[in-house]
Amino acid sequence: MEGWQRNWAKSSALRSRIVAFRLVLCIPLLFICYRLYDLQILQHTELSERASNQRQRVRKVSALRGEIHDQTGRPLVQNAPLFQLWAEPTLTSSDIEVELLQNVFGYSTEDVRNLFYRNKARRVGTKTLLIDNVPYEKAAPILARQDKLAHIEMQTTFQRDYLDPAAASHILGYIGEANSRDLEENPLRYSSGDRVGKQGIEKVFDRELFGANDYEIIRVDAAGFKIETLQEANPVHGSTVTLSINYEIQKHLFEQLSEHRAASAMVFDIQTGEVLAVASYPPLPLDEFRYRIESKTWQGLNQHPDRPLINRPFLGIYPPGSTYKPVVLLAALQEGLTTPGETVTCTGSKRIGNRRFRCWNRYGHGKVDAIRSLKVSCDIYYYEMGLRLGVDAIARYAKLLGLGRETGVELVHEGRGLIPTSQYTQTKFGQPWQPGDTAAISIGQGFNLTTPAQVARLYGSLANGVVTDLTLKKNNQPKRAKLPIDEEHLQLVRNALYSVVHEAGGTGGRARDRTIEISGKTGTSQVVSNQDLDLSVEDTEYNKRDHAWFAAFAPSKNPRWAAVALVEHGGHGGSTAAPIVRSILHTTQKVLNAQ
Amino acid sequence: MRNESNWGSKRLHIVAFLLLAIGLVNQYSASATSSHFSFYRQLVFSGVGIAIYVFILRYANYRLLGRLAWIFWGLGLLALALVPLIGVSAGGSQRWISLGAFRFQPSEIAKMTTLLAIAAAAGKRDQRSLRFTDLFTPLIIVGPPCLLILLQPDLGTAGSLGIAALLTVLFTGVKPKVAVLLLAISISGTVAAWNFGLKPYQKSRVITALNPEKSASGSGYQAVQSKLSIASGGLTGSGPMQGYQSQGDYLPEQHTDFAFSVWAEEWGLIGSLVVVLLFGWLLIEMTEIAYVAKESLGTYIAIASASYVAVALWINLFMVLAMFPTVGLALPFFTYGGTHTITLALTLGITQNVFARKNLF
Repeated sequence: MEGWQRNWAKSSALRSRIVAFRLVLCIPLLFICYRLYDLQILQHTELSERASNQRQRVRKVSALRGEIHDQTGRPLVQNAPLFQLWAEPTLTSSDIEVELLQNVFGYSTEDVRNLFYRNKARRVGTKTLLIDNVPYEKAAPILARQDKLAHIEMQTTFQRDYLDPAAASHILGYIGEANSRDLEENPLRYSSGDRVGKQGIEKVFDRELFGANDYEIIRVDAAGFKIETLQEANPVHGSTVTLSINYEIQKHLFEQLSEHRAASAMVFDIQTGEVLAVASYPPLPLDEFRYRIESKTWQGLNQHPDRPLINRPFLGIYPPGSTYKPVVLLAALQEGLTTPGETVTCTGSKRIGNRRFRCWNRYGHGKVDAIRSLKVSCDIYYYEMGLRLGVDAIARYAKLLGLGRETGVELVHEGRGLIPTSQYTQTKFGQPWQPGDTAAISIGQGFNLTTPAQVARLYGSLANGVVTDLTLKKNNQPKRAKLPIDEEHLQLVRNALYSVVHEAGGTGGRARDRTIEISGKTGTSQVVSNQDLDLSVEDTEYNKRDHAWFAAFAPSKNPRWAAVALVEHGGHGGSTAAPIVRSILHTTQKVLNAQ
Repeated sequence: MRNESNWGSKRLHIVAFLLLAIGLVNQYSASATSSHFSFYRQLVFSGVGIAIYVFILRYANYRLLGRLAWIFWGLGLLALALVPLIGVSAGGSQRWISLGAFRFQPSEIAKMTTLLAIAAAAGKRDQRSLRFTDLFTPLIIVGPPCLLILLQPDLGTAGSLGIAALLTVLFTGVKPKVAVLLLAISISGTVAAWNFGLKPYQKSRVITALNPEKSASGSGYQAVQSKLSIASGGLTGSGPMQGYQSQGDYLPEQHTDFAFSVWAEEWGLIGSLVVVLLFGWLLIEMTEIAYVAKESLGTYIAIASASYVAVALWINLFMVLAMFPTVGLALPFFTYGGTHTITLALTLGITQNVFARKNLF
């Protein structure tokens, strides 16, 4: 017995007590069973969805931006990888990530903290963009260890890679992060953080270049590491845009301009309206625009005295100067106000109203007929023709020949210029139009304003009697309109433009070339007022100088191309601009015949 | 035959080994994110546990143990008292003592020795219903270890010891008046503990348990993740090693206190109910030994052991099902850990020893 109670064992009293005890022990298990049923059956759908939501991340997969090629398929703009270091601000000095940043970048904990502070605006979700544009040598050691790093991430995206960051900078344009206006205008195409076309071809052909982004759904663990991809993203990559630009010609054209402070030039195919080369100088520094534009860079460009932000061939507006004279001549011939044989005597000046108007040659040209008027660029002849025609008739022909209206080129902005009518001074200054105003516009000065591209188009029209819109895209077939001007008058003007270059006494002798016959016209447009420019002393002389024009088509016998060059404050068109056009047309023929 | 010890209750063997196997399978899955480190250790603990279990059931003498219960109780208390002096801290509380390469939790040992002392004290008494004065002895036995465990602080273990002791005492038979008094003591004890005994984080855990969604990433994180894991299992579960929640490391403590959540996600309602039913069966087999025991000491040892297992079950499962605060208490057979595995082996071994010796003497 040893003192233990045993009279209880196996009694029915014990049995009933054990049964009761079992009930006490097992009743909580029934609650547990019910709770399991509640969670796993009744709340299963709701809670498992919540669970899967917390395990999933939706991540944008950007489409690769399309390339921009020249007409021969040469890539002018491509993509290059760009590495960005993103990190979580919760990073503490004990994390291995900080040690890694120290080893790779030489940053101390303090440096890292400063970086977070400086870049606090660049925060997306839980991570901050710490270092933009990390060189590959520094990105590699982090990429290699990426799957062990929870708090920093080396993201790979793209930046633009330019064959030649200067030559066609204004035409190509650039990309930048989508701002609120971009997002509003294209809510379906763009989402926050996308880099989109901002200027030039990048902007105008953004629909083709951008492609379509997609989203992938990935499963992550509690620390945020990817475990698997649940839904693959299928972004539609941007397509290649092929331009009408020929890089060989473009490069040459740009080199011609780079000898001057501010200039522009263009050459285009008069049959198709395709621009073969066009440039504005100074260029945009596209190298600094590969990924994003720093506001400091932007400000510097904006305040630069030579204004590199302006795409001069299409946005620069200048008086056309003497390149305008064929318009007035054609108008006078077509209206029957003169004949090719009629002569006007130039004594060096002419009184109109109470003002004396001078010819550029103050000794006078003597007897000047239609052909000679262009060859020697006699102002007196054109004062006479202008007065016979009147401002409105001149304006009608100028519009017909494509001046004072857009060339239709694929750019965000294009200057229209100005071709005044008799209403102009009345609405603008409240004064009636004066005969002197007509005289001024007859020689391309006064209120006349055109873009270099318009002048180039004018010379294309003179060459083949067709006004074509311009295009930067290959095989685009822009609008064309036949000129309602008699062929014999056009032929006379062509002959005159030939003599400008090829005959003794012509103003465009410096455009004569050994391999290609060029017909063209010089222009020297007076810089009327510089009062609105805040000029430094050494700039004043430069800014008082005239703009130099030369516009031409070639070959003279069977014209294929038209070209223009404008050198701001370049002095005389015949000496400064004519050699540029000659060189461009020479190269155009050489390059295109070789292909 | 009559004067020989046997090899214990076969049915208890079966259910215990089924649960052990399930627990190990689950441990393998729960430790997948840490290259099964805890699984292999648990395998070793289980081997040691089985050896202890067989040894106790075959060679121990529970009556001798009953007589020495006070000494064991004293040793358990001593170990507890040593914790504040030489204990190791982890997670804000001091629960461990290092013994060379081993670390063990004195509270687990003390829980067992205290329950043995309760059983031994009850066995000495005749089986008449308890009077007020008879409550004095159990209170002396349970009070000091409970207090020391509460000071560590380890609310889960202290609470489970108190409840298991209360159940054992209740089983020995109480008059209605005594039952009311016990209830009053429990309630006032709870209130006192809430106001004076609980640390702020423990209070917030209680509040969290009542409304785990309030702070899903703070103190309620474990409860919410556990709930989401279990619910994700659905009827049939995601399959072994396929639990999105558990394999994605969303579940904190998934190899220890929240091991059942892994099981519930991967095996679904069917698997969960199988485990609960096996636990129910385990409790029935343990209490059956209370019936066949040779005398009341054996009965009370079996009852105390069953209470010990049942309370651990309740608290842990209520906790992982987000019905109760996250107190941190092991689930028998499922939770990784040496001390509690060996304590479980000792507890089941002694119970089996009662069965083995039912025909002796």
